[in-house]
Amino acid sequence: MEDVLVYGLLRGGIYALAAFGFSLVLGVIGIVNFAHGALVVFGGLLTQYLAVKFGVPYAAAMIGGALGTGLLGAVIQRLFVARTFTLEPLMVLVQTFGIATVVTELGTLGWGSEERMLRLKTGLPPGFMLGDTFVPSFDLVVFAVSLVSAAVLFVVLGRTEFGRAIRACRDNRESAQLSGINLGRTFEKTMFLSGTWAGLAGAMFVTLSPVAPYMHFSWTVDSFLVITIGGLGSMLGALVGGLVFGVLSFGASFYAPTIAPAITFGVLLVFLVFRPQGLLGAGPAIRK
Amino acid sequence: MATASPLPAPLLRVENLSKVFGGVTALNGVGFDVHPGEVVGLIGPNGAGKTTLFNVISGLLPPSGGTIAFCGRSIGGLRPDEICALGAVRTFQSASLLSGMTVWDNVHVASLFRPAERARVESAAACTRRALAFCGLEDCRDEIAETLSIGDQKRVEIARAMATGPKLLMTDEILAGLNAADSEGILHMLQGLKREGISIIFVEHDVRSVMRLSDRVVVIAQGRKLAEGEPDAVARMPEVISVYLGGRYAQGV
Amino acid sequence: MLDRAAIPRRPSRRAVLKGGVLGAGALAVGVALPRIAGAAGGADGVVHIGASLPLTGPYEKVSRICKDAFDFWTRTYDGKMVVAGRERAVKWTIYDDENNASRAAQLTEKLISDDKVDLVVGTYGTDTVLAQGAIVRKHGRVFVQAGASSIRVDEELGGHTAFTANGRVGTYCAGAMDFLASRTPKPKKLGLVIMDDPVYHEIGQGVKDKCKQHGIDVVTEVVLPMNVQDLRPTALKLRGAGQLDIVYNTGWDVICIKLAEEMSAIGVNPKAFVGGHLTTSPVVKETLGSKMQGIIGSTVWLPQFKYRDDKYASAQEFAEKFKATYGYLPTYQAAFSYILPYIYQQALREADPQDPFNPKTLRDRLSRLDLKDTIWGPVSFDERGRIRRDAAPAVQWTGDPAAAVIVAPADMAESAGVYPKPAW
Repeated sequence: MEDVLVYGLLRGGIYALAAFGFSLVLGVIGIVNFAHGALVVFGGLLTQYLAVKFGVPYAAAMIGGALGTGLLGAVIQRLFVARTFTLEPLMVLVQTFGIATVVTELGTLGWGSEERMLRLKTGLPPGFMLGDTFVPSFDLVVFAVSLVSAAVLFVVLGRTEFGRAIRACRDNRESAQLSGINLGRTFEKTMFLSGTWAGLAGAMFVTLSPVAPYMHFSWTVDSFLVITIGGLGSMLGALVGGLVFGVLSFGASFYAPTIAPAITFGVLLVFLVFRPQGLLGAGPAIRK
Repeated sequence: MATASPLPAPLLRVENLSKVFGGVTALNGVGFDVHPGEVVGLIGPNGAGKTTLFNVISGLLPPSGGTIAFCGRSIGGLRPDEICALGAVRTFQSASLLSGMTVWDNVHVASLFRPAERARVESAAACTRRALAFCGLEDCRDEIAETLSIGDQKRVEIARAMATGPKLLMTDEILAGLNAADSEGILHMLQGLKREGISIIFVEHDVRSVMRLSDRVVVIAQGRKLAEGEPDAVARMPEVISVYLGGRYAQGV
Repeated sequence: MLDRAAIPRRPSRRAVLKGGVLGAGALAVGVALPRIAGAAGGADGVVHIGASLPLTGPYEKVSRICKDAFDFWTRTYDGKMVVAGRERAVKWTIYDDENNASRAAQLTEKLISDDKVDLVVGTYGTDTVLAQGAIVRKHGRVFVQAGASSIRVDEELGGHTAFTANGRVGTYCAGAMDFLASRTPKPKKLGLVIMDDPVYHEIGQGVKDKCKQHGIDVVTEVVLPMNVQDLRPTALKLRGAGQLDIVYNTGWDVICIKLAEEMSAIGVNPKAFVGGHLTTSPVVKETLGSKMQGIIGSTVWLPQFKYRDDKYASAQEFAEKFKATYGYLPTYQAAFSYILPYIYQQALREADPQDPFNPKTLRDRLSRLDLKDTIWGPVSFDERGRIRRDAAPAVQWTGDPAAAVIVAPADMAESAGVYPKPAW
């Protein structure tokens, strides 16, 4: 029981990391980005590529992977989403699904469809005991990075000029524009931020488990589940949602592995019916 | 028809402006000028095209035809933030704030995104403080915008518009839903802005306020300009009375 | 068939898009080509072999290998097959069945009725092979296949229609389990990880049968959905089962990798880890690195196997020639695809010149076939048309960098093997 909780929370950190950007894009640009999982996977593979192919130290490869993914996100925004985000939401959904497919196929062309993993020699001890639970050191590092990056994102959104612009566009698109904010630029920056954090999640995850282009969709779905639980519109919600989802999915896979997906989706349905705003959401699940 | 006293080049010149939605013509060849420091009242029955006119001038909607020149520069088809940066801003009929953000942040966002030449003169924080003080909002600067009373929300709208450093302010039924005291306060603020040399296009249902504040009145109906002139002259025009003012204002005068 | 590709990893939208085009193209070619193979059953000196493969969709990589192997066999024999003592030119017609059972049935019907092929070889994938078999059976014909090894083939098509050149998946574990049961101290407790799909349950059942035979307790059994992502919960379950002697993974290569990673992360150290039937896929070694030490795998074919035939002195030579031609080392799928036309060739060598492809006599010839030396090892079929194989050999990964050495069965073993394996 205790170990399920601990391991679930540790996993939850990465889920939260992946979900921040998904939540941000849904809140600010108002689109469900089906390509989000592709960004997570891209970040992981780019990090692995930089580290293995060019011998870049992990920390630098991670940052490179994250920023590279952010850039990809911004390019996707400028070339595709910017032209369609005001259309029917369904059209944009289809479009981002198409983008996910294209990114995945291009990734497969470039990197192949094999699973890849980045093996790190951290010099850390393998782990330590927390009560009766063995906690692997690197899992804890990843968890800490999730929390710290959540705090960074919190500060960026709450305290900086850029953050104010993003929040303004989220709150009221027209008023934001009439306050002098360039909507297109702000959306590109939002997508950059979203991609950067997605890439960071991938960069951390690739050190724990193999990553391959075909895995993108489960990241998208997981991100969706996280913000359904945590609530849209707050980074704290995504963090809490990530941790709760981590424990939930770990518990389900531990106690009832064969029906684990049914359990996690069952919880999703319960949330949608009884608490559509999620645990910490600012408003209803879809604002616009 | 009386016209405003001769003034230098107009701040805003709208010529032959039209806007078509699908098959519906919302604006049909509208044209008028706004001069620096002038308050132009814009009246017309519901659905006359007043809000559409503001949407087109402020860049939220592209025009279907005609020209809009601001400070001598054509602005038709520019983005809203570009038009805002040039100095033309608007408010919305129902206060349209950044609802989840504080009063300070609402105004501060506008200060932050001023064009560089204005930002050099005054820091963003100073600009925000000045706008809040002008609108009497210092005491509620940390409150979340959507929790304020309607009257205060309208003040925040004006403060935010002010923070952008406008040359032209377009207010869209800013008095709607306000009690007499709040209306009076807002009218005072607008008069203050006028004294600072800011031009205003004032759309309002409350005709008394329009007549009081405006230097000149433009009447539109069914997307066309019906009349233009000094308030008293317009109020006496039979065609204006028949389509819009009906009996009520004429009797009141 | 059993493969990592068995998971629907990429939804088949690609297959839908591309399959349409390719399928149409293949059909067009099939129609446009002059009917060299006449209705007289190859009387004009041509052997027409028909096949379908899942060339688009989740199995596209594997079926590329199968197709290359068909081609490799054709090249090896200069495009000729000796039938009834007379050399004939080989002509292939291969369609794309998109891993879709009804498409496979439809294409098989077309191969037999329209294209009038002399011989049919099986596709890749359990459901498609079963669908193919139903059509072949309807026409009273026989076919040789290796793309489906489930026991269902024996039950539905064995003994009359299908000759299956691949061993039952239930025997996959036998080499590894026999090897482990002979170690000292003798392993007592086994943890079993089964993927929730009939074919993996069949492998798992094989493991359980072997445990019973050797007196090993299956102390925990974790059944995982096919789309499982996180193997940490499974590792935790295994840890909860106490000190295990053996952990057996029935799943494919990625499951093997994740399970090894998670067991090592939370300190689950069984004395032996059987990674399953795909530890030889390159991704396992690349990702697990030094953790490969001591991992056991079951494998139905490797170039190291001491097999030979009339053209290649060793499986190694076969593998090298294949690599020189196609740029990659042949996998077991390449070997079992190569063997399909090879089996026909051996069975038809002395057929009756009047009616060489007569189904009844072909069935008898295949049943009586007893080949000692082929690239795929000894080939003979039991009464259900299944190749006689009671155990897949086992390999163990040792050395640095780790390499697979055969540890079972005894007559093929290259090394005595390591037990218990070093901790992660």
